[in-house]
Amino acid sequence: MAFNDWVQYFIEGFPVGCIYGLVAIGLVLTYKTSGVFNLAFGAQAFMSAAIMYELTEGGWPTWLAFVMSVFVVAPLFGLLLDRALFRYMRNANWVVKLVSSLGLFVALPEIIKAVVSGVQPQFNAPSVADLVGMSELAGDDQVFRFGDYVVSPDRMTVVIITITAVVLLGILFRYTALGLQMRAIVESFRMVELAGVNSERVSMAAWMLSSFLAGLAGVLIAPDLSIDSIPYTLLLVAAVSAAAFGRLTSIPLALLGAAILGVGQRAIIGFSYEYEWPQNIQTGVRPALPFLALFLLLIFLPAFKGRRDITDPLSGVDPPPPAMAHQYKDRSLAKTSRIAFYVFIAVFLLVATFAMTDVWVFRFTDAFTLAIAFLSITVFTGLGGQVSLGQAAFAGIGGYTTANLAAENGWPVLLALVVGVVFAVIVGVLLAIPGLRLGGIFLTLATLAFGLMAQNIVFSNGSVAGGPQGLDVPRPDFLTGSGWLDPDQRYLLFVFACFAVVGFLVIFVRSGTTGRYFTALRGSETAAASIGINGTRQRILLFALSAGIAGLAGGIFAMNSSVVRFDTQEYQALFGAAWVVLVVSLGARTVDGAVNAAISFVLFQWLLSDYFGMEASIALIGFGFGAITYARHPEGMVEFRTRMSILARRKSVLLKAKAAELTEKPRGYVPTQRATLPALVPMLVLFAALIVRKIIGAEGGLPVWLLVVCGGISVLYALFFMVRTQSFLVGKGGYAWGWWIMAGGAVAGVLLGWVLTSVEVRTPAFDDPGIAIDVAPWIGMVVGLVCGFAIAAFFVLPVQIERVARLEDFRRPPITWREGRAPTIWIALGTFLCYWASKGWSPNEFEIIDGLPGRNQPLYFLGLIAVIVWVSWIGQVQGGVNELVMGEVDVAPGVPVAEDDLPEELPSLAELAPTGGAE
Amino acid sequence: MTTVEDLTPRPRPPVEGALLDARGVTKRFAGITALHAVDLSVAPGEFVGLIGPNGAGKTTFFNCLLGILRPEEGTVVFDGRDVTGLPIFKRARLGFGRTFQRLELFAGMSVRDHFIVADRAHRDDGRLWKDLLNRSKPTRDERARADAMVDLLRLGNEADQPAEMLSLGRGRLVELGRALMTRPKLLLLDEPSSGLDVRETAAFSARLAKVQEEHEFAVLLVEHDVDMVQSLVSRLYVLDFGTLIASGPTDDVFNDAAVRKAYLGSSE
Repeated sequence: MAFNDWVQYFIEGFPVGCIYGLVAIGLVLTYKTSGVFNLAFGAQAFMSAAIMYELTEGGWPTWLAFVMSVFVVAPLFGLLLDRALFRYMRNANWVVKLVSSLGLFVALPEIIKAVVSGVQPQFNAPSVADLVGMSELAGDDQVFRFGDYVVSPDRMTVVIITITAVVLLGILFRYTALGLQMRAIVESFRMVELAGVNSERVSMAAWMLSSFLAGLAGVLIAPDLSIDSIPYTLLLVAAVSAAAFGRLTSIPLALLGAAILGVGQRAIIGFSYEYEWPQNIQTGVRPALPFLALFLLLIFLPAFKGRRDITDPLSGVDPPPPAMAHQYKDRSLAKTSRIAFYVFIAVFLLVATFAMTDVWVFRFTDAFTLAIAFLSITVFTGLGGQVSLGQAAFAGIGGYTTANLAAENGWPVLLALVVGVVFAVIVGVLLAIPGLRLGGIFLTLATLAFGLMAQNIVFSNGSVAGGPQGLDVPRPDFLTGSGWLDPDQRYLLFVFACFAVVGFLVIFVRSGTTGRYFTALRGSETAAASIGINGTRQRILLFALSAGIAGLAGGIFAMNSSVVRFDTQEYQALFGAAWVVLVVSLGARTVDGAVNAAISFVLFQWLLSDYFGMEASIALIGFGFGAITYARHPEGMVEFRTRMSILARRKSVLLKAKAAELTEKPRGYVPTQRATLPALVPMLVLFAALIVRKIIGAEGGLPVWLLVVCGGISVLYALFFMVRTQSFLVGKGGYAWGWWIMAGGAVAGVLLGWVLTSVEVRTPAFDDPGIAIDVAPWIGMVVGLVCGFAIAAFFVLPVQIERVARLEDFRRPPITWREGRAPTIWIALGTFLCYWASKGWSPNEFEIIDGLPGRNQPLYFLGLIAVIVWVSWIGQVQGGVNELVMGEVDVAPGVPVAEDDLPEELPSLAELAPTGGAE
Repeated sequence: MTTVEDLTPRPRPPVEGALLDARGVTKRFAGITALHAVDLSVAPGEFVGLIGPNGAGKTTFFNCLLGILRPEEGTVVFDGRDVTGLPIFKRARLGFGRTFQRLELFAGMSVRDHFIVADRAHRDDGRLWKDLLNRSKPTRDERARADAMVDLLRLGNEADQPAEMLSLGRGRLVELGRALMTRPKLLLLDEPSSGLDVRETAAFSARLAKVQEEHEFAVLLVEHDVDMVQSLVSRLYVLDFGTLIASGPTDDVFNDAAVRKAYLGSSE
């Protein structure tokens, strides 16, 4: 390599490195000021580039588009992120912060693609060079000449802008108060406030500045890239590597790292041409250099050893997080829920065996395979307290080994599966060893690098991926052939059995010694070591377990479809990240969190792509939003709901006990079950009739009169309940205007019902104007009346209860208006689905239950869920009323202060037997 | 009693029969000598104290004893074995126990579970295959031992609470119990009275004295609370700027002029 070559590499690589540097500065800045490592900066860069492109295409002058996308939209978005999201996570641990930024990383590119342009990558992005006059300076041939070398105006622009930005930033940090404040708030937000600084403003400024830099980078790099999400993900990873070079805290070093990376990438390309590397290494290594660099940096740089979370010394003022639901030892509840669990499993198996259509058999097979993969995240994150973004790679290893051995070499597939798992375990252990000294976010970044390397180097390689046709992996022999059930149904049961076994193993491990050691290590590594726990061994075990589980899932994936390819979504790192978001936001600590996540994923994808005909990747948006709920419930939604329901049940048990002691129940008290039964029983009758008809093989759906009678009883009772409760509450001091609101709701409902059923509306989805919902108007008005009244009541009654509670000096109201949200959402959803269904719109066969008319099935299932929501609302309201009449019940565990064993009078310390004393 | 003049940098001969014998421990951090040839020994069952002004190097010395830091020079011999290079968890298995100045409890675990996990880690008979076969539930013996510790430390009211919800004084007791479950031969206590009020300190001292008397383990106590030290400790070392400036029976040390000047504050 001559010197000339190196200069050329520098000229071409340094500007790219500058762009990496800009994003790297943003990463370091937000990490230093808020502790959040914002993986979404790549997407934010993409956003600015996409907006600028759209605006210039739409006729805006370049300079205005530039100002808009970089100086206005980008910082505003950063402000939004701080105010709406990361502000609530200041004292959360690093997993919460990481998962939220992961959610953005996953969701934002899809939102941008859906909103801003079409979904095609764009070329010929507008160049910024004109704006800064570079094009004019460059002269007629549009290049700058330095001796023998040429530099394009774009590249020159990038370098000059970057240098300017860096200089200005340096001045900001060194010489201004704001810079100093930024450096202080990450140590302790509250302490900085005690010093008289408005920390919120400082944090906002840091986010706006970082987002501005990301937007700037996005626009500057746009001429070199296609404007699509993947190149911007690569940009992000390169920036992460640069930031890692700066140990995530030093901006100058990060810039240096960025420059080295930019030049190095160009040099590698040059070498690969000059020394004629094999083609597949060329295509693999080139984009993988940033991941490789990141991986090697994390492993070999000493600065990452044993890094701890920066803990705010004032964080002790926050209340401790609530205990896990299963720690609330509630014997009877445990028993009922265990029985309910087994009943549910039995019902599911029955339905799967006898009643499910083929398509849904496939879907549930996929769901349970995914659940196994998710269990690997339950182990790694829920038990081990670390986050791995490389689980898809382990799945790929297991899958590829299985596929290769079974399809290409003819091994019996179950044996191949076992070997696949073993191989995944081995790779997991190998990955664990260099990662031993890493913890927290650094380990996560290392797993991300690993996952991306696997995806880009190994699995994109044609021979591994199975070529264009993929690999045909057979299913186990004992499942094929004729017999009692369909082969596919037998396979579903097999997969379900695998999942059940793994699930139980995870539960055993969690409650066994290993789980206890993991919990101890999660709590305090030093303290765990001080009682003799070998942290190294446990860490390796953690990797081995989770890699093995993921490998098993990968092998089963390979068997699921008739042909498997390894560049599909199950094996992609991005989806690996999405899995983490999904599992953690639903609940990483429990097996039912994993199951919920898997079934939600499959259902959601089906809903979007099959039922509504949208791109499957839109599902990522939903998962991204899941990350936002996660910010408020870091223990996961499933856990949160379980805890809430356990607490609610405890309350009702206590109330019942209280009531049993009284000979005369106070007026208004109705045991919750008795209150909900009249609404529930008719619907159960309906559901039972459905099953019975299916089993006896009757034709068609349910007779209309049965629907009307059962539905009518349930609805009428609910209305009666609402009216009765409202009048009772008004009698106790509630707001009388509640009546007006409910009446108003009824009227609005009638109107809306009439509009939807008799007015011709030009709907966006169908060009010809038509009636929105195709039923007789009187039905629409009656349903509208009921729904409108109900929706008003859903909110009014809890508000009344809050009011009366306040009048009676309750410390906490039994329920709040928020209880009204769930049933309202279901009614809205139901209306929407009625609209779709009435348009005859069911693009694919949707029959979960064999033999029922496809078009109406969503309504049945919707109805079932709506009933559950409606009935539980009744239960909650009645529970609230019960508490109002019986007196407040406190069920949240408090800490009793044990005063009784501290001596009343302090003994003089000299009286305590001193062991040895003055000799 | 040794005084400053006596301490010359020559290797001290090993102390016969000592449980812990640290000789010539020297620790440097980038040009600063945090510890300079510190010698310290603890006999089996003895209650030894280590005091000194903040910044003297007490915690650094502690960390060298425990394996968190590696000294540049010097050796640490425990129960006849040179442990200078052993990792932390191995030292714990040999008989070191410790508590922490800032509470390091296991978030999410109840008090009882802390004791059970410490007991198990000490006996080291947890195995993955046992877990997978669901044969790792706490045995009756384990539960009995944990309950006994709960009773000993009078933590019955909070025994099933998650540990992070306890107050500082209670948390300290949990740490003490957790360390004791590993049946240590030597218990290292790092400023246990830090953050406790007078009553809590008295309760902790009382509990500690009682337990030590019953189980007869040695204690090395780093403390600032002079009353606590005086009532519990039989032999005392004083560290200042990384060097031992006094050692000997408690009262003698407290009366030593150099110690008063450096740390206790004299009235003249």
